[in-house]
Amino acid sequence: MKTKSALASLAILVAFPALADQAEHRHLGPHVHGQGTLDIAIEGNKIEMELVAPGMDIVGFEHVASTDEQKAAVEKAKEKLTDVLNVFKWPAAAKCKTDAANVESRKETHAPGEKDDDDDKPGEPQHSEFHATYTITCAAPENVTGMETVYFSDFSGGQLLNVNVTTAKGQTQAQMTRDKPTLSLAGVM
Amino acid sequence: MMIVRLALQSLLNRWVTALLTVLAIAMSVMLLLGVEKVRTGARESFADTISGTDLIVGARSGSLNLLLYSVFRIGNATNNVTWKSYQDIASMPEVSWIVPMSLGDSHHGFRVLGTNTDYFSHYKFRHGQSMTFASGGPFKDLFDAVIGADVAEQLGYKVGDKIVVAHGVGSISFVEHADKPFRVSGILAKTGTPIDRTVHVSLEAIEAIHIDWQNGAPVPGESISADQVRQMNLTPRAITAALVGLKSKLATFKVQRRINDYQEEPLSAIMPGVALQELWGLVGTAETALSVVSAMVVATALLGMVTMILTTLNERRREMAILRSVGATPATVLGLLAAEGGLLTLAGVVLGTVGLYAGLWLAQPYIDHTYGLSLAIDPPRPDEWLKLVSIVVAGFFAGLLPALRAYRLSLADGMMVRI
Repeated sequence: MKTKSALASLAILVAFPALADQAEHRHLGPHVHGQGTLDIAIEGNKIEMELVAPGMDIVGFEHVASTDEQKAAVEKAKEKLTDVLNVFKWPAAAKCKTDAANVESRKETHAPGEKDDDDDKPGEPQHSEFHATYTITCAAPENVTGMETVYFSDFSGGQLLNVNVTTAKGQTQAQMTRDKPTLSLAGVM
Repeated sequence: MMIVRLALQSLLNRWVTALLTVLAIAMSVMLLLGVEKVRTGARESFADTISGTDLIVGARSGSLNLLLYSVFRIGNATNNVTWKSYQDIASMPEVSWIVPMSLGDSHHGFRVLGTNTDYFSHYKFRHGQSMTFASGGPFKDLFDAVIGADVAEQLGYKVGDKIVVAHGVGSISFVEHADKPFRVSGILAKTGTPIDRTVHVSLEAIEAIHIDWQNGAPVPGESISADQVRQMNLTPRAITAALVGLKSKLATFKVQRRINDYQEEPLSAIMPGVALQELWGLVGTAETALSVVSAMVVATALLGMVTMILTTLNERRREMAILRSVGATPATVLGLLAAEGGLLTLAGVVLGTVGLYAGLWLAQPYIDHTYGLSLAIDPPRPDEWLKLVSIVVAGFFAGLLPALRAYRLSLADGMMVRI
């Protein structure tokens, strides 16, 4: 019985190769307005950070920027996010500087007909998000004891950042919110 | 200063009741601080159940579910991970080491974990401590087993004993792998983690005891003896989960994402430290309850003190009258009683704090060994100092209550004392 049904499904797959193709690559991450994720990995004097935030939080809309005003808003947000040390402020004593910062607004460059990593249709209402990766070097990493952020005053849609931290000493999770825009690394540094 | 001296002398005069009050306050302070110590100790021990592991990989599921079955041996996996996927992850360039875990069998209610000897060196707990063997050593033969401290203690096993693994995870099982008994090759030292309650065997052994089984039951007439099985290919087809260590922490999120997006099989990679925090967040309500209870105990002790001062007030009318007659103003009487409350509480707080640290110092090794709970003997934190100071202040104000009464009485009594 088992073999039969396996054979049957194999036959279906052979007959409709497109089905097999689609069945493999359907995957969508969670998307909650007001909530972003900030991943922080610290080792030696290097800090790697990655921010993923819904477009709603950063610019207030999630469709492809169409008007000049919207395009300008996206550009401005990207500019702000690129200046990472002024958004996520590590202690001055740690003497950190940015090695690399890369901010992109996913779907923003998504032209009609172009294939991208998500399964939306261009021009239709959709969820877009900002995705930023940073590499930071700190001259005095022993002073990296915590972090403060102006993310919430810079971006009025943001309510919460779920922060995941991994260091040589361990891992932890914390939340930075509009009311408590600070992160303590006590215990893992 | 005079007032404090008078209050002190007056207290000395009634030293039994005073001492009892101080003891009550001391006990409540001990409880308040002790609960705090246990709370932070439990939290840290809990967060240190597993350390040194960067990622835990299992079938696609919630992070808590994966953490619960892979680390705490609670609940079951939603699915298995194929050996092919395991090898794919093992060959990722960022991966430094990977330890397979296979769960699903049990021995008298204790979970059996199929793994390899790397598990004993890579699984770390409590600030990166490694497992140590109380006796024996890791498994060498196919049918060797390493048991946790609790398993050895509760079932009375020692190195060399034969044990039979049961299929499934119930405490009473009707289907046993009786044809292929294991020999206890080592007993682990107590860790205070779920390792203590686990029977460890090799991954190949898990494969071997199931080799002549089909659909979760032995096939009649098709039994393969323990000796025959040694000649067979024992590469596992699937595992339950895997512990992964990375060469660099910086790659953690990248590797995690790659495993979560792995096309060939739906997998989940979780960061154990993060998942432990999440889990603690769920049980954290109990923490608040503990703190509330201990705060109420302190309030009760202070109330007891007020009662004590109030009840003695009647007997002390004479004392008050004498004080008044020698020129003490009603304000002095007020100050005297308030100082008494403050002094009693201060003594209680000091005694309680000292008592707590003495108790911690004495009981710490025992608690650590018996419950796997490491309590830190560190000086009170700023918020604890604040608590202590506010208790003393509260005691002073609680003393004002009888003081006000005495203030009013002493005015009247001063006029018409008749003894």
